[in-house]
Amino acid sequence: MSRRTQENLIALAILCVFIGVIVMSLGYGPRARMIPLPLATFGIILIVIQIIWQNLRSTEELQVNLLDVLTQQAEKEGAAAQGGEDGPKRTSSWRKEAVALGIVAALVGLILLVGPIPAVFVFTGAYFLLSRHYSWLKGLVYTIAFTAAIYLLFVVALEVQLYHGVLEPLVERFR
Amino acid sequence: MLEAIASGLAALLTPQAILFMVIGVIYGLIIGILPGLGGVVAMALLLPFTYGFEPAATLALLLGAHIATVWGDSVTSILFSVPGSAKGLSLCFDGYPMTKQGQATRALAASATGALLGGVIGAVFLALSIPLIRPVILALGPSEYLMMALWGLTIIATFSEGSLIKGLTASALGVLVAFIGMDVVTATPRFTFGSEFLMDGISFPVAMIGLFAVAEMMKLYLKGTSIVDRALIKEVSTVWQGIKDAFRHWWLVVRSSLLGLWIGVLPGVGASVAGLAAYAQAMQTSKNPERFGKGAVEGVIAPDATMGANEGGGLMPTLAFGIPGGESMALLLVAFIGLGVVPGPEMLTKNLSLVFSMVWIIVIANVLVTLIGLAICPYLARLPTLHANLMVPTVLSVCFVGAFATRGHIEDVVVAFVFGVLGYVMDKYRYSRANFVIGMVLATMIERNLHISLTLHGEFFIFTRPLTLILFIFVIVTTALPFIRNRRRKKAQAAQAGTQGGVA
Amino acid sequence: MNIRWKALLAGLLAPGLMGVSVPAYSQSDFYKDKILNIIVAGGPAGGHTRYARLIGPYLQKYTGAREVRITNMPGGGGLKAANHVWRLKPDGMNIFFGNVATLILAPLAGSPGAQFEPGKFGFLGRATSEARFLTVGGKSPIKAFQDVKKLNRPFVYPSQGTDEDFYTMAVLAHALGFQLKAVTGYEGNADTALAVIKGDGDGHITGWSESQGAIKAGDKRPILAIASKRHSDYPDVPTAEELAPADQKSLIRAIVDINETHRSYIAPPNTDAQATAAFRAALKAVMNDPEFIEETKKGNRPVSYMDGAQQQKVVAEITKAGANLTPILKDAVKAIQ
Repeated sequence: MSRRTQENLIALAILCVFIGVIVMSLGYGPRARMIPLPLATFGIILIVIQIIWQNLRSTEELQVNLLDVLTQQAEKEGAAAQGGEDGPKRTSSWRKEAVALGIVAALVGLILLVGPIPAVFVFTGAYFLLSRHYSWLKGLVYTIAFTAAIYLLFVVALEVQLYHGVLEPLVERFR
Repeated sequence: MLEAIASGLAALLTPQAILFMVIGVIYGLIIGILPGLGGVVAMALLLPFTYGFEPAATLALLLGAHIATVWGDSVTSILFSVPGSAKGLSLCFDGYPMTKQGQATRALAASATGALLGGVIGAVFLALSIPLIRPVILALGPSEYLMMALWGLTIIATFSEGSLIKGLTASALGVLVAFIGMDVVTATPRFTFGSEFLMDGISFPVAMIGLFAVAEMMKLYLKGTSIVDRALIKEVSTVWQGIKDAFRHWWLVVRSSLLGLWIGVLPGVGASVAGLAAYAQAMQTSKNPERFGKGAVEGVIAPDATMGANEGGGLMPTLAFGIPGGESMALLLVAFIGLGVVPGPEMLTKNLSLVFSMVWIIVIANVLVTLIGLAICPYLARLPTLHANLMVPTVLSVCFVGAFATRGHIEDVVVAFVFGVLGYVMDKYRYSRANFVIGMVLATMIERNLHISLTLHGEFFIFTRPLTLILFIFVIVTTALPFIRNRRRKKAQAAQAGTQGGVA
Repeated sequence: MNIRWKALLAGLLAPGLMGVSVPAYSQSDFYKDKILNIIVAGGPAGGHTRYARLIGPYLQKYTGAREVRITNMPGGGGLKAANHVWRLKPDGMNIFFGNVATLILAPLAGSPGAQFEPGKFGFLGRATSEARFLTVGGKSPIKAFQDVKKLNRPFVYPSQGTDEDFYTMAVLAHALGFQLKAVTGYEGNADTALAVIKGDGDGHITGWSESQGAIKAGDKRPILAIASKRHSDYPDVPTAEELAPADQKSLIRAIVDINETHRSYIAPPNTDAQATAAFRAALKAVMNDPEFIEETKKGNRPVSYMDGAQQQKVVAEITKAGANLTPILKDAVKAIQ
């Protein structure tokens, strides 16, 4: 997907949000919709201008290299310089992005399933293990120490009542 | 008065009070560093242990903890671009770039010193302005708050990173997100899709954790190394540099502190607005605003000074009227009543030494925080050099547990995730996250005060209330200024000007 | 002194450990060595939490529970916690502590946030009920309640939203015969109090403790007590019922009764009878404990106990009597939309 297509997709998604807001606002009383309605209309105007504008410009101006986004250097670099390195790099960055999303989703999923503290333990341990950054022993020690620290801080010192995960009722049934 | 100042200090010089202050400050620092938790949590947890102690010691514990949380928030913003609350957001803009340039120690030291100076200036002016404060609070009302919130919106232009259209779009989205939930003005559930959880709206700290912390960790994973690679960028700065920076920009510090005190005094205006206003103020008054956002030390000093002073200002409505200015002050009020002290104007006559004890606590707690901070900041500055494989799992874990801990709702973990993805996408496609948050912070303030003004003063309230009209003109003038300046700068840069200027 | 120090340190490090050594004086062993969870409506800074934390250790003493946990559940002005408890397993291990007035008024007004029937909860006893007052600004031309009717314009009432006070105000206006203009959107009690002091609004309803300071300083003036009898601090302030015309007295009584149900312990519907009895007995013992009474006096946090069984009856009655309020409450909500 070219940068322009991506930008257009994002803009269209935002357009849909604004339209959705207008549709929902129409169901509210005059005072409740007093600000959302005009604001969403204003938003639609903005995003339509944005869509037109970004499709009129040349492709080079839209090129933003991923690494530049990370280091926030993009403004300084001339856009033309990156014109060439499109193809292979972008596909691999797509895959990496999907992995990054997967990692975060995995942690959230774990928390929902087994509750925060066990999730932290499993997630950190698995991450250390899979990344092979540390030896498994060192990784395990770090995991235990980290989980204990989280437990001490949040549960003991801050008295946070923890969520036990959707699996808990199942476990209880078999006990 | 002098006598009260002295006896206020003397009450704090007992071993008990000093120990309590130290405990409070350390406790507050830890809570402040954890994302999503702030001063209210710190004070609420300490409150049960305060009954039966002498007033000065109790206040030292509570206020000390509260003040320490403020700087804790700045630390994570500067080092990882992880603001624990809306207050810390403005520290990300310049603090984080400084970290990336190997100036983390300097940024931390400047921020700690800025907070100290802000706290002290705030406390001094607090003491001086005690007699003036009632008329000031009484002069301002919802219509004036509305104007202040509108003024806050003018910061949007500042953070628009090149595209004003995208910047405005991001703000509009932020405002709409803030409207999710039960609308208190009309008792209408808006954009909740029938969900009971969404009736309470999106929690600020949780949204911030997602937009910034989670998104930054995703980026760090993609980068694959550490935030700062010491092989490429050496830590070049020292603590001393940061301290000097704060004193060198003394006029900025004074201005920011007074702004913070002022915002703190107004019951309807939150501290999250204070940090953003301070940043905008620093930038608009700077001689070279183009350095902002790329690691200007002023962008670190100003918000910290403002937030340091803000806490002192928050005491004012409590002291002057016996009504708490915010949730943390509500807790302080509880402690007062527990101590048998009836807060209110009476305090200024009968308990003046206790009032000055509080002023002293603010000063001493700030000094303590700064001393501890300056001592540990060279060590803290090493944290960003940790490898991504260590940072990503640990920071993500702390963030999601923190998101859960803010309200104890498991749904908030999902909200943090959604905002994490949103933050990543917005960052990648240059829809300013800062603008999104500004919209979110100001939305309810604008909507509520607009409705109140319309109901109380009618449709033409801007013109019937002189103070409102003055502020309105002020808003228009200051909005126009950056554009005029921008255009001049663009002209100077001649060649690149082109299409973007036309949008304004 | 020494013990308090240790308590503070222990509390900072490991609050969970604190209660282990407390001996059990329980009349029933139902809760013995179990973990009792108290779900408090509102955030850690709220008034409910303060009371729950004050009573917690004593409840532990008299139930013999291993631990009494306080869990905050903020949101929806207390409705979120109520909805949550409505769906909980009725094993008596999770008890709700919150404002009964909210539970009764929100369904009466048809609030979309209320997903329960108040009468079906198990009421375990009231811990406290604070007198509430209609207060006006110190500089207001309204010196006594009679002046409200002479305004020749609606009484401007700054409000945070549709909370108990908002509903109470609507009923007062209807029963006492004055015009009301509610201004919603204020951010918390501080904001509304300031509006009243400034004169932007005419008056609002506050609790006895939160308005004490402002009244003493002359910034605010109580003109009406929303209570069944006059308050000893303000003997000249009449109650709403005294001023109501004969045919409206029942309405006023209903809303006053609802307000006076206040801070109570509440169990999910159909809770285990043994648990209900054990909890009610323990709460009664707490409320009669001299040490506890001493502590409430020192902390300036008055208690007024009502027995659980009695409260159950009272709630059933006022829920029925309160049905007359529904049209008034619904009109009030419609007026702000």
